[in-house]
Amino acid sequence: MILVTGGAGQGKLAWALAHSGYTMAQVTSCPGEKAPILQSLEEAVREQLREGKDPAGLLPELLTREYVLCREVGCGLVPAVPEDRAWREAVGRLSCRLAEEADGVVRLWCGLPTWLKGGDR
Amino acid sequence: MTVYLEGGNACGKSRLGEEWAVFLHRGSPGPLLYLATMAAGDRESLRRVARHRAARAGKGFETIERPKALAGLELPPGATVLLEDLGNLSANELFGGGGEAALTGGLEHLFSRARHLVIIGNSVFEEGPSLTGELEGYLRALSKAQALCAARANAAAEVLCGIPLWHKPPEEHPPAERRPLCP
Repeated sequence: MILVTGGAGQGKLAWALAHSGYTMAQVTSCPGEKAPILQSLEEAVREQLREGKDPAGLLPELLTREYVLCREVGCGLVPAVPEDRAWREAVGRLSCRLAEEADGVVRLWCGLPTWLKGGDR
Repeated sequence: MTVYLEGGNACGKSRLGEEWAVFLHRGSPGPLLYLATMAAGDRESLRRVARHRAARAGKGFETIERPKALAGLELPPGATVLLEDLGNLSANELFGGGGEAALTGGLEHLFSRARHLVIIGNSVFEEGPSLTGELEGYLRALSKAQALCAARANAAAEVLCGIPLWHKPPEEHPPAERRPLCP
């Protein structure tokens, strides 16, 4: 599994498609749905929290994907709303856990990839 | 040696900072100090403090709680200091009467007195447009303090998903990092 991180609109999906050769038909944003690329993990985490579940429970299923795309949401000021604070905390922690288990970690910045783990490092 | 580590919320920067402080402290006769700057009052921040304490347990840190006015802190000679974090320290100084001079003065004090220093900074600059003047002032002061730390540091990294990306690579590093990763 390759974890693709980066801020909103930095080119995570475009990079994953180019790197894999897959099309949008192989992309899902729903954890229950089969597809090699899972995008918007941050939204799935929000859903888990809403349902009162521990987002770390997603870990085993995420590790079966080829690519997991997750937006970096922790680089702003502390959110005023407690739910938002819990959300960005959960997204950050899950990303760290995924990065530990992943074969590769790529960070997209202005469309440019940097391998943090694996790949052509 | 001074190491500067900066990252967003829950990016793994604390764990990495602890690893570095323990690594730099090895064989050193001075104490290993954790300089905590969060002025914890509410339940949520107390929970945060408890989590950080649990993560540090058994690593040999002596904790000093010091939300601001670091310039007046008496440091034992030869101390290795892990300062966590600049976001809290800046807020405490700016909104607590010390101002930018106290912030910079406190950092200078640590630069000159600590044997080894690990500083944790906060990536908080990718915020939306609706900032008040007060918050803009805070961000400006924080970014200046962080740039000062990165400039003074022997090594400086941005931490992403628990992984350091070295903008200023270290010459030596903890064994867990196989080799420093640079952009």
